[in-house]
Amino acid sequence: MNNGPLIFLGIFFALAFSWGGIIMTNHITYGSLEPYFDEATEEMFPKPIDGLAERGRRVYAELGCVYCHTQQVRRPGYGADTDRGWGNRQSVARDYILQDRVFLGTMRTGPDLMTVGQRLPSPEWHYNHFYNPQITSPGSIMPPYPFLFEKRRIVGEPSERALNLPPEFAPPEGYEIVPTPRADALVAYMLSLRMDYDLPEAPTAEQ
Amino acid sequence: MEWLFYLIAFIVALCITFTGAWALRWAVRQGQLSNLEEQSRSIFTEEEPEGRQSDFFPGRGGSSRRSRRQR
Amino acid sequence: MSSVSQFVASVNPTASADVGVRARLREIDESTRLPVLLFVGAALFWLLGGTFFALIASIKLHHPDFLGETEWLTFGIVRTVHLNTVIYGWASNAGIAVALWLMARLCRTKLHHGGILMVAMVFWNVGVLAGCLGIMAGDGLSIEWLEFPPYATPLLFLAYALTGVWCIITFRFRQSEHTYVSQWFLLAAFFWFPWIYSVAQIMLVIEPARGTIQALVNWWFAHNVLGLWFTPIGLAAAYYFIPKVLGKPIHSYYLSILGFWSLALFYNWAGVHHLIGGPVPAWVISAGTVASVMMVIPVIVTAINHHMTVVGSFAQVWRSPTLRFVVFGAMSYTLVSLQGSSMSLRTLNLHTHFTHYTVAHAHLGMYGFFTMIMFGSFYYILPRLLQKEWPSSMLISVHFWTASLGIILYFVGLSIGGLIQGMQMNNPDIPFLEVVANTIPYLVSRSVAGIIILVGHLAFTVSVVWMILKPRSPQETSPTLFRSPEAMPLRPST
Repeated sequence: MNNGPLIFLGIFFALAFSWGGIIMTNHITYGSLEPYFDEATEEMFPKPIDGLAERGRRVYAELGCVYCHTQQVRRPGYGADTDRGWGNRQSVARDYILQDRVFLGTMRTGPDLMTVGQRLPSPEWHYNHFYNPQITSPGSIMPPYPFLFEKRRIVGEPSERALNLPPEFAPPEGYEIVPTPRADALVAYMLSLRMDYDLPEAPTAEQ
Repeated sequence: MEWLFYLIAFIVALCITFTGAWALRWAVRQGQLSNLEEQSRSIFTEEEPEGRQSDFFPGRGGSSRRSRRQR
Repeated sequence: MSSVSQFVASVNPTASADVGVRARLREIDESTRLPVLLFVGAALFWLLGGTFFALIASIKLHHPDFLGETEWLTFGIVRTVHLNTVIYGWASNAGIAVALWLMARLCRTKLHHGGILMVAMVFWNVGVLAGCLGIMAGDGLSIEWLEFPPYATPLLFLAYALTGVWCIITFRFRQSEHTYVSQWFLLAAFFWFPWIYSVAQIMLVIEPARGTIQALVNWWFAHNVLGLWFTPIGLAAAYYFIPKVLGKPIHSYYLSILGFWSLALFYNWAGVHHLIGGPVPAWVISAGTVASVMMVIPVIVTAINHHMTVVGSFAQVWRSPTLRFVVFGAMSYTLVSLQGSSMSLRTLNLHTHFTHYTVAHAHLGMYGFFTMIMFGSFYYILPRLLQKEWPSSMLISVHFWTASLGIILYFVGLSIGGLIQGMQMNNPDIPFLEVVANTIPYLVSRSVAGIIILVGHLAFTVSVVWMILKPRSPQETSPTLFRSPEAMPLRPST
């Protein structure tokens, strides 16, 4: 008995079905979604992020941040995303179209980062937090990233860029902690994460 | 343009359905769906026949004390 | 000219003169020895490596300062290396080893073109190694399940293609009258995987799709690696070993075929349930939820088949190392699949999404189901390849108890922790850091489970290495267990 061809046809069409349905159908229907042009302000949304932030996005990928942080806000009433202040509206497909790699994420060991740039606009907070999360968020289980900073001996004047650390985290006398370009890029990326514009398909919830 | 997409989708769906129906009919005609249970015995051979367990903890094979006790 | 015809003859059974004879099982097993052993060896290497990285990652989640100074040991990288070593290193190597052996045996034909497989094995493992080192060097792509940098994937793809070609050639040379259901699963797995892998590579890495289409492709791929690659291989092994070791045919062959086709139809739609509530079209999510619920059909059908075959033979199961592991795996399969269906329902998903509950679920699938079945298969295959007995019952018992209790502790602890995490996260009155603090005891229980599991893996490795190195004793010209003249009757008479 030779039922090879039957099996082959079956397994081919079984997968072709979902490939067509999930991948190709959506690729055709919204795979070329364009930014929204707001005629009142003559601006396009979402806006592209600048070059430094774009490099920070690369650091975000290298360090695997996506495994603990999502970048998606679910609609009000579905989960507590908006109640926790992670965004004042649902995030929709158009919010992501300018990102060459989408970091939706599937795990919230840490909080959502879709609007972290609005929530925590202070660069100093982010530098300290990356150097050691315990400084800003005691009890956090986020790992420290000391390798994004340089510990160097103070020669002459201390650097303007040196971190202003609380005593228990400060380096020994005569040393200072200075961010590397990667830390600058990552912080720029954090600050670029915002959702402060309206899209017709996702109006901001009334406060 | 949208109607073209739905037309193509419809034709593809028809093709898939008909191919499936054809394959099923072909299989039935070939007799592949008859005598199904017989196929489940194809894993047994003269060396490892049906009705005989073929794996034990080492040293506790067919003639082990434990199995005798159970008889 | 003659070389061409020789080549044609070696891949085409109708052009070949000397394949009419059906090989004996022992000859088949011997012909597969070298390639299968190589894959098993590679699998063990990655198993130990993957467990090691898993432990580091697990400890980091409750002691974030642990090894915190080194970039390549940061959590995001260690966790990723763990996932890729166990998926592409351990599970894929083990799955290919078992699939090759099963395919040759079920086709009743000696292994042809073993060289293809050795080349494939080398390419595959060099690819995995390059990929893991690349992730540590910061080249990881941060696309879940596809983190390997682009320079590692061509090696994997080539290795994969070679294995798939071998599989088809062997199937064409089959000398059996019947195609057993395990062969269906194996053929399907070998056909599906390159498809999903190449689609994912093209639409995510080479020519990334726009916006959240990427997320759809990502989860279509990642869930299908489980559903269309590991699950078919695991089920193929279960469908073979349970009836084979017990010496009685599967409960209902008809049901096994129904299970196959319903799995093929529904499983590949289910992956989008990872995006429930996310920025993708609602109808896709609904379709994914429906498919996830429909998965109950193949699961129940398979469960009936496996468990009804085993019912009444628990004493035999207990006496067989293979079946202890395989039946544990089959039970986990039933549990994890029903759990998966329930998790796609919005009411439960609301609490389990984005939490450790999902992690526990994934480990019950990859470890409780797939890995346990692979262990069981190795306990059957290796004595027949080496023509030697396992050296120590004690080591097998240690392996079984640590692996099974370890994964149970892992699953129970992390599931409870995940549910608490999810419910508290949905209550905006509880500060986020408090939610984090409340999960820590469960994260510690996971590290304990990891240590227990590591002990089992070490026991298994010692067992295998000892078995390969020990001399063959004179009475072991063939493995005694399955040639014993006074073998066990199927049911002990009372």
